[in-house]
Amino acid sequence: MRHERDWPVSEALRPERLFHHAATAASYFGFVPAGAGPATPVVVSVHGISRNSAEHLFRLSALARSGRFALVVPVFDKATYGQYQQVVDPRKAVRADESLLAMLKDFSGRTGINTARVVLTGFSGGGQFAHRFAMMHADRVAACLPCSAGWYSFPDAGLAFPAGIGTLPLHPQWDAVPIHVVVGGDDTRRDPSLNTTPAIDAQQGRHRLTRARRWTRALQQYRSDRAGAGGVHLTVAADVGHDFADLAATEAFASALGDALTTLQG
Amino acid sequence: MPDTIGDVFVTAAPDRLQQRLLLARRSFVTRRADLGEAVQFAKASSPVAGDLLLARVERIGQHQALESPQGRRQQMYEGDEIVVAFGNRYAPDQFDAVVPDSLAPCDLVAGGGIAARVRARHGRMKAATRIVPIGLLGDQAGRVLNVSRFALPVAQPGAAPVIVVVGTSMNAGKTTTAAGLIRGLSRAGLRVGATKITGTGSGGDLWSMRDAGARTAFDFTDAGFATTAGCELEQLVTAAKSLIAHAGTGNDIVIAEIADGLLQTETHGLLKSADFARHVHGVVLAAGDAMGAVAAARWLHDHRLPLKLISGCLTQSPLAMREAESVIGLPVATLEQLRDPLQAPELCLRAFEALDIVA
Repeated sequence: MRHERDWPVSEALRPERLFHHAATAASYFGFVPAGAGPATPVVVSVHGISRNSAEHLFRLSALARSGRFALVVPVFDKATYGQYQQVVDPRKAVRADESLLAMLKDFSGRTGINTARVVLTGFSGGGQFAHRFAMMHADRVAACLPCSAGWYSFPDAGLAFPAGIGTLPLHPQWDAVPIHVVVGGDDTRRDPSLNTTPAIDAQQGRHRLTRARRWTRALQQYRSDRAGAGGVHLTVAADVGHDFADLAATEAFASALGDALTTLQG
Repeated sequence: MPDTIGDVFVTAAPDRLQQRLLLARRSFVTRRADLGEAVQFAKASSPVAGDLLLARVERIGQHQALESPQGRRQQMYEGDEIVVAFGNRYAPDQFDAVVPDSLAPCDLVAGGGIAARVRARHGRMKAATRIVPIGLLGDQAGRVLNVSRFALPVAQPGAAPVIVVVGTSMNAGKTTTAAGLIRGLSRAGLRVGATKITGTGSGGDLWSMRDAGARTAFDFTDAGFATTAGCELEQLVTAAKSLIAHAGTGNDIVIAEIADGLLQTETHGLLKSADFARHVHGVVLAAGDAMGAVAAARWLHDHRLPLKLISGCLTQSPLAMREAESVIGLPVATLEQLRDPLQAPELCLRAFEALDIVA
């Protein structure tokens, strides 16, 4: 049975093209705005450990439509990718970075949009993934916006990855990637999903707000005497806790994303 | 002076009535009512749907408990006084009952607190619990208090997309389907508002929606109806749109359940209303069996409603699922799929004709 009537579709969900590529090796939602071409900028938004990919798609599609950028929203299922936040799952050694690279290739193949360099953001566990991926694949990241990450890889080679960078093979262009950390001003609760080991508390602080501040400062210091280093900024969104919906709705996030897109377009 | 029955009316001193109301067992359908406004028994002899009354339990029958406004099942005893509302009941598995034309003894036809006169009952039902109206609750001016007085303000639907869950009949799995979808969408991080648009006042479905993860849940009692059986279509459409509006406020998506089967008068009328249908982005059908699903899908198709997905009790049978899927040509989703944080939004996005699944 086919329905011929043209039923109204909510403006919030009226996609010019929206699809889900469901392969285990590279499962993702893709959104392509109207009038997109090969040079349309691409934003990758990575979910947290609740695997709220649909929420990322839902909340960012309006921005994507108005800002005319394409969206790639990965789905790192728990069974396959485990602790994707660390890019390489420590137990299974499954590589979420390779999965994202495969998604970008697939997306480009389907849409004709150039994914050689993208703006990479992520919330919570996705924020962890975003900055670690950028360290390893800086040539693919035009700008990185880790949002409300639980903890970070500090630019300290004396500290083993993932708390530091240890022997992590940093990409040579990593220093040049602009970083804009975004975190809620009320993101100070030590919820069950937060890493609260004494070592991390001592190194990074007791909650996400402090950890974002410390990592930003550490990275600014690390890059301060390096030629051609990209900027490192922190935006604290007032009155926002650890909630992606609330953060994504802030002017602070939209503005940070807008700046990142400018970097890509420039 | 006796408290009374039939067409004889008495007045009660305001403080005495308030004291009686405090001691009486209050029912779910009165939950929005401010009983502080009840200062006397109204001098009206012919109730209408939604009128609030104080009644005495005369003989316990089918319903032995009365659901409180908070959802507690209050055990009733003969002689108890209860605060309920008049309303029609259309429940093929239970009672066919109407608002009586007098305050003569009548029946408690739903545990949520519906007083009516039984016309017929299902073979498995006991006789209804018998109640004796003591009086209609009246305000200072003597006007009867009706649940409609305490309704939420009428509102117009906003931008949140609406998925409507309908069924082939009572007990086809509508509430479970709606709750499953709410669960999956809320697990996905979406803010879900829920509403039950028609039916007989009872908290069960609302609690089910809230338990599944709906941030807000409303039913027709919020729109001023004790039950929706027998109400005017125009009123029902206005109420349905308003409930969708309230459920959508501050939420990303609305899941709206419509009671009973497609052949039930109000369900039928509501779904055929273009004014209502234009706010519906997708329909999910809960079906009891494959043949029912096929017939219901055809009915929805004939009425140009955007059926997108089948679920319900038939999904307990893989063979029935296969039969329905092959004839109707639409996906049939199990409860497990509905509750999945990836599959639920995917199913909804497909319902909006927005999502291609690519290999």
